[in-house]
Amino acid sequence: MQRRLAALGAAVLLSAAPGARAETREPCAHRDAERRPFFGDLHVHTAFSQDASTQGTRTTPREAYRFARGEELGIQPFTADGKPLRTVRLDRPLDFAAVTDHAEQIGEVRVCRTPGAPGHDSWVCRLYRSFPRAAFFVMNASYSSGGERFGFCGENGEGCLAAARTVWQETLDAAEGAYDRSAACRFTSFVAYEWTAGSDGGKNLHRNVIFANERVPELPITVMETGNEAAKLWDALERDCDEGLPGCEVLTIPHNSNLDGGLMFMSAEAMGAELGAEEAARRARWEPLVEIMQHKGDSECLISGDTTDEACGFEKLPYDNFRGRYRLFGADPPRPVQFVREALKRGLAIEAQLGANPFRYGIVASTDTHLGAAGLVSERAFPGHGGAGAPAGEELPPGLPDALEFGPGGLAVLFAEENSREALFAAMKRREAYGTSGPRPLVRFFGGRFYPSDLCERDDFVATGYRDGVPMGGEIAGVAADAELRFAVQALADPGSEAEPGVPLQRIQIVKGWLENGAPRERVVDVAGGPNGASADLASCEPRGAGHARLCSVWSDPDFDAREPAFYYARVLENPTCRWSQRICAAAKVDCARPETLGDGLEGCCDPLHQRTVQERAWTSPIWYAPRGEP
Amino acid sequence: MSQPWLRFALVGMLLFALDLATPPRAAPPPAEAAFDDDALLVHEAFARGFHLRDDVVRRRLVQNLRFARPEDARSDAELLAEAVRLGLHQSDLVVRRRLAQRMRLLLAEPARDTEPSEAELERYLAEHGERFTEPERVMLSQLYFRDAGRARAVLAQLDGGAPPPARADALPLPGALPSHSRAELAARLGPAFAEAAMSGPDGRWFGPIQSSYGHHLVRIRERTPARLSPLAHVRSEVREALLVERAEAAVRAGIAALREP
Repeated sequence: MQRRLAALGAAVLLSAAPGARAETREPCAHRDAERRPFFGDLHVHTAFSQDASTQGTRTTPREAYRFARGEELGIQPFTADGKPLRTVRLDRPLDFAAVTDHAEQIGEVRVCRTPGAPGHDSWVCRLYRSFPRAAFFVMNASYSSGGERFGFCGENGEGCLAAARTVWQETLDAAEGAYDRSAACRFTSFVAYEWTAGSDGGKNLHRNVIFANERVPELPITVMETGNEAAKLWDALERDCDEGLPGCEVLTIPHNSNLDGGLMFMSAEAMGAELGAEEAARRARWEPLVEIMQHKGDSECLISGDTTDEACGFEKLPYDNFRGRYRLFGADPPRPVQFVREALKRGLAIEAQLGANPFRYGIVASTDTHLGAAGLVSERAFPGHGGAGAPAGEELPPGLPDALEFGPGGLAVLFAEENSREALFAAMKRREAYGTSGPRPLVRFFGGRFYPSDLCERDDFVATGYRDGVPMGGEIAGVAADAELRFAVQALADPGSEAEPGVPLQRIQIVKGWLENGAPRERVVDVAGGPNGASADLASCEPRGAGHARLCSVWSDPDFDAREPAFYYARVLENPTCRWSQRICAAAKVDCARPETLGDGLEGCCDPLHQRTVQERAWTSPIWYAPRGEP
Repeated sequence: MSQPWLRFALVGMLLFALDLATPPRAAPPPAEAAFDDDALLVHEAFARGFHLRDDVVRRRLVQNLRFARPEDARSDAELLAEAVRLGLHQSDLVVRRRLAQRMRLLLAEPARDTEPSEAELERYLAEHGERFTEPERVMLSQLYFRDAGRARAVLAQLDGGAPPPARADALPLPGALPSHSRAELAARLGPAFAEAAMSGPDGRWFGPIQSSYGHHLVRIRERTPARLSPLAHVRSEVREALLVERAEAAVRAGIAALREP
């Protein structure tokens, strides 16, 4: 890496944005003061992850980044002489990506795959090579039960730690190799990993740890050192990065609260407890973003109680933690407390009580691919993402390539002046981000007091948005009791690609959460477009009905009460299309009234839980209203 | 047994025990493989005595013998000599793989350790232009209209020498777009727009071109033809590709030399 940096030579300038840390690179040739959306994937596993490697994934981080930049990738299953039986390619490359391999057991996996290494012939490694599926469970059980490494790791785990250093260095090298430090600014990689905490054998508390640059600690932090409380992860990152390493900067992104068994949005210091004031403030600093949707379902909202929002019935998993995936006891149906909207609402209540909002989350989505296929989000020809360790075996299994309830996942969108680590990391920190369930609509969302009603008809929408208010992720502080609060929101439909034309928009909604006499409330309003009767033909998967290429609205909240804290986020819905599973069922001409049409592996087509269409969408980060300093 | 993980662990161990109970598969290299490159490299490694010096191989051979004869109390050195006398190094698949890998590294070493000169990098870049070409780029201005008729009317005014109108219809994209390749334009405004805009004339307004959103008048302010990337932009990719190619060539040459001494 040093050689590479040196090679940039005298041409290297320090591109110093005011108030930001400078990185060593050429300045980007083009900066856009009005900020552009960059599309990427912040959750990508490769063969370095134990669960990916035990299901036959061979992609290296280097290959994952190449794939993200538009190159072809061979994926499992592989023939005996190493030829992949399937290949994939993005028809639109990504602008950025982070390979986030599970930090736990990167060293163990490397030992088991290195003939001659001490420990290679241990029973665990032999199990790993002979029965990877069994090894997946044995190895998971080992690290999630806490503390002890396997005996084959040697005294104090030194053997596996040494191997982990090699793997981590290769991860750094891959990120460095993929990062475009030239003025063209074509692609940004982030050094990252996943901290894989959980509770009760399946309640997910995972976080992706994303570093701002190449200055990173010498090893990832694992749950073997920290236990399952995220506060210990933050302690360790403070020690090793913020305070221990000049120039190091990092944040953590929680994901899959839909599988957290109700624990993610509770205390990160004491499992299952309520948060204290100090933790509330600390948490908002560490976690500016939450991953709202991915391969393993949607975490936005659940139809229940106060939530009657129909669009919440989207990509829901039927269980509340990982045990449900393996049909084990100990899983229940999901509950509202697991979902991001509920956390945003509770954040307002906690702030009213304790003075700090721990759940001030901006929004992104990603894939969580376990094939190294960053940004592979199309519903067409979805090959599965191999989540939760399902192996493809040695030949292509017939039928549906993934669990019925899983899907291709989504993308993270960051608004930045240029495609560089510095600019994108700053966007993450200020939450100027949105998530999509895969497509690439362009969504702008601003909040302020004085937006003109005809803003949608003017060509200075973005400039006015910034000038007279705050963008998504921002905060509007206390206003006079009779003030009006306005939101300017605009969406352009995804233009699509030649292979996959974009889908028209159906509507823009604003989701408001607020406190009424101390109790959280929510409301969902259509502000542009609306129900349009569009659908997809389930036999041909052709779209039916028209939609919008562009939607725009300046919306004034008629119920705004300047004394009550609130948040507002925009949700943009496309017209419905066939879900990945229905595309396969339709191509196989499955007719659930005629069981003889139900080929091998296609049982899911007629499962009562099978959702045949999907309404792809984007969720913006909220804009918060805080009645601080009110007159 | 209340932990499901534990039950899976036990099932895993049971499967493993079954695997141990089945007789080990004999692993002599198949006949047709006995003459392949790896066999040649392993043969050469034996001739050079690598199996006696390589740490991994030594440990493997000693371990194998200790496993087969737990009662044998001789030293590692003695066991190694015994293993070699018995020909264990010839048949063990791990040893053979390790030695072949070592030979490949050895053959590639001089190539990998020689830093390419500036001139060599430049030459490699020129010879592999197709892999290191930056696509054609344009900087364009665009006026957006929801109505094609209005777009045509404005174009007629522009053709007559009028300045561009202060206000077109609103679209949250800049009127003056920075440099875009065809793919980048397609990502913003759709493939059909990209195709039509890239093939338009330079320096004057044309259109209207239809995008996913409506109708655009377009003027190309600057066009940069596709060009070979300057070395400064792609130095590390070129260097890596050159080193890999040289290493592979060195291994091929080494193997050829072994075949025809």
